Amino acid sequence: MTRVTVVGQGPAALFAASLIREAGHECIIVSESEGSLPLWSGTFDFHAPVGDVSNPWSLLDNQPISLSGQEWKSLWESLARFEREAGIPVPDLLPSRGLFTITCTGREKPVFMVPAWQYAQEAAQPVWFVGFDGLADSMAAFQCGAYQKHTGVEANYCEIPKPSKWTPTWGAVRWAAYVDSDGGLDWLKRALQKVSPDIPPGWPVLVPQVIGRKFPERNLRALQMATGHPVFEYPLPPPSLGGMRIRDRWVWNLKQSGVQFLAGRVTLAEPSGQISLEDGREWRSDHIIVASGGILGGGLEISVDGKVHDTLRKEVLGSITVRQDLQMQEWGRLADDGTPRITTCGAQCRGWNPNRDSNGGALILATVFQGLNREGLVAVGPPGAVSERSVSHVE
Amino acid sequence: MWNNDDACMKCSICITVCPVYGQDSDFPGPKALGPDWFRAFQENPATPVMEHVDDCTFCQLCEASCPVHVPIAHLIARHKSFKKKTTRIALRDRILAHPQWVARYPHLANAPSFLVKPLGFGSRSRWPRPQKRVGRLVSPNEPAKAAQVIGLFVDCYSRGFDQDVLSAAQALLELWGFSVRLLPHASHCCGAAAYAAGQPEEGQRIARATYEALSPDLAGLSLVVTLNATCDSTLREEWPVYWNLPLPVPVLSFTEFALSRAPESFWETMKNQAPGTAGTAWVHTTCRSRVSRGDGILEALVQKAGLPSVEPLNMACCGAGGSYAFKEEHEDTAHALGLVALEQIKNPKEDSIVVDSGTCALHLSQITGAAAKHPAYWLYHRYRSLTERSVEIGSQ
Repeated sequence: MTRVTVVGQGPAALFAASLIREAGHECIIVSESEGSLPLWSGTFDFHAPVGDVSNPWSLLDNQPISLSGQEWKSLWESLARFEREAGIPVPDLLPSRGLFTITCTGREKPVFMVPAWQYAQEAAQPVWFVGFDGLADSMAAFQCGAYQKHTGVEANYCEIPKPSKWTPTWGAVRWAAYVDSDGGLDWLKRALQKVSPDIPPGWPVLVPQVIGRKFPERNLRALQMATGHPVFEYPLPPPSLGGMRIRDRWVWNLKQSGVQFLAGRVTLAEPSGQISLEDGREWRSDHIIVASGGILGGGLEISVDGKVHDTLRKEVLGSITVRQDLQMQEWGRLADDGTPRITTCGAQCRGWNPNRDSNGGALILATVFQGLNREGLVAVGPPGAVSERSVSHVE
Repeated sequence: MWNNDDACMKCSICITVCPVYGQDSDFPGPKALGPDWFRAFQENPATPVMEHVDDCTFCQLCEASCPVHVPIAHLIARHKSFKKKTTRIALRDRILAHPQWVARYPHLANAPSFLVKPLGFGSRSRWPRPQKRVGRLVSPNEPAKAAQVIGLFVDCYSRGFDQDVLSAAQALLELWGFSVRLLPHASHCCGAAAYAAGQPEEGQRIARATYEALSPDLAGLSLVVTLNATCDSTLREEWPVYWNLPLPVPVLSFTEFALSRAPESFWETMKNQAPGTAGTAWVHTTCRSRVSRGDGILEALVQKAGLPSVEPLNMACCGAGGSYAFKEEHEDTAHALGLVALEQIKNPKEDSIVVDSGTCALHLSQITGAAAKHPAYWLYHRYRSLTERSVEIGSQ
């Protein structure tokens, strides 16, 4: 059996591992810290730098890596399949157009692959925001006003008071644990039942993304029954319950399928497949995929002089200057092309700027595909779909 | 104090992996207790100690999750050291911080509850009972020649209570052709219990005494094998990094040693079908093992050993936390964390739990009703039943 080592355990690493396992290969994940999924709601976005933002399918050539429509479709279907297999409730059918979720500041944010617990819409609709008193970043009045202002669509809101058990130490994770408990769910049901007569018929009710860590589907169903309205979550800043749930379920699914999650810092990754860890462990793989550079996770460190180091390759990749963006051109070159030595994916590389373009999900899918394809590990889509053009770069 | 101790960028990933934060609504969580407290403490050494700092199990999952390598758990241990305790709780914690004392007199664990309850020991967690040693294993093939000498680190729990596990591990290592030296001779502790209980200086003192007791016996050893995951990571990480006590020989867990060094003939024998093994073998990799080495290694061993129907347990920390579950103020949290295993194990009479820590085994066994033991125990008994069966078949 072919053995593949994936360095890192963020979303790119998990996606790569799922593709590798599905192709029938053995997969080892090695990482020295947690992946980035808990830092955002875990939705994958598929926007493009310019053009008709409502339809990503019409803008495929605007993505920094150019893939055919069939390849994009196949990649998104793979992601949806892996998430569903892990118990993450994503839809069976891919969206035909781009979607927008609503942030806690009332802004529309492009998304594409969204679990059923989170609100997403094709075009602005009237909604009812619910704020929780005592939960940071749940600012329903501000959120509602901003949403109305930016979309011109009707909306309303209410604030529900803190539960009696609340203390000032409650962050989103604590709130979610409370809502998972019988007492917490009852409290929330009663609070929403009180306001439900005020909510216009048919309006979705949007609650902060703390509706349980383990049982969000059960909890949201209960709230829907209690209010008679569809109830969804809106995302909050990190730590994000949406990303945590996806991480918890996806990692567990991979563990059950036999993927090892080793803890350690990789100090050497050779083209021969030799991997060495700082603690002295060594093994040989048939392939190595580095997926550790999306955020300041596994691969990168910033020193006090602002230099950004790639700890694996022992190279300085860029620097941070006060009040300026991260300058990461060198990292981009390495990550985008892969080096003769190593295949990289998931990294914010040349041409990709997900913070600006809202296409971080597409970045993950495309760079993982590119990386695994380069290693000859997987061919996504129907036979013959992978052409040379499909992985060429847009300069 | 240490590398990256002031590097927290407040991403809060540590909170997402903390088993206690999600369970105990009074627990402020690793970020508040570790890096936030440390920043305040640097500014003002009179910064008040947070009330629930002792509720941390010292599982170190927070520290392992940190993208900028803040030694979160070790900062929390420092924070704990400032906590004032009542005389009775201080006495209890002093006893529990010295498991080497209990290992010398394991029958102390049979003390009636009316004697120990006033000291702050809980009444829900079952105390361990000393187990009997098992016999040597005999290979049906050519006996292996003892070539290499390896050390087997005798942790306090194995010494005091799990002699069956210790002797099973020794028997297996000898079966595989190694000459085994038990280390240290007398009852000593690696210092982990004191460190976890917020007594870092005492932990270091205990560790140094153990280091000195071990040192003369390390000559000629190729490596030291450990049975307990916490002792394993303490010897390999706390000793060199925090206490300047680097061992001159490598340290390896029994699980990894077995996977890499047991001879093929052993695995060939283990592949045979054993009679009467229908249940599921649930695998729990302890938090310290997960932090230090990773997940899936124990599963690989159990699968290689031919145990039927291997399933990982989906849980972070089981709640045992060394002596954590024995303290009255932690009983509810420890029990609630362990209940996650009960939700998964539906057939405790037939199923078994494979876990690389004696206290975790005790805790999980109590909560689920399934037999929970170290992998050495399960490997020993499987090998024995398979070889005895083949001898019986041969004699018929």
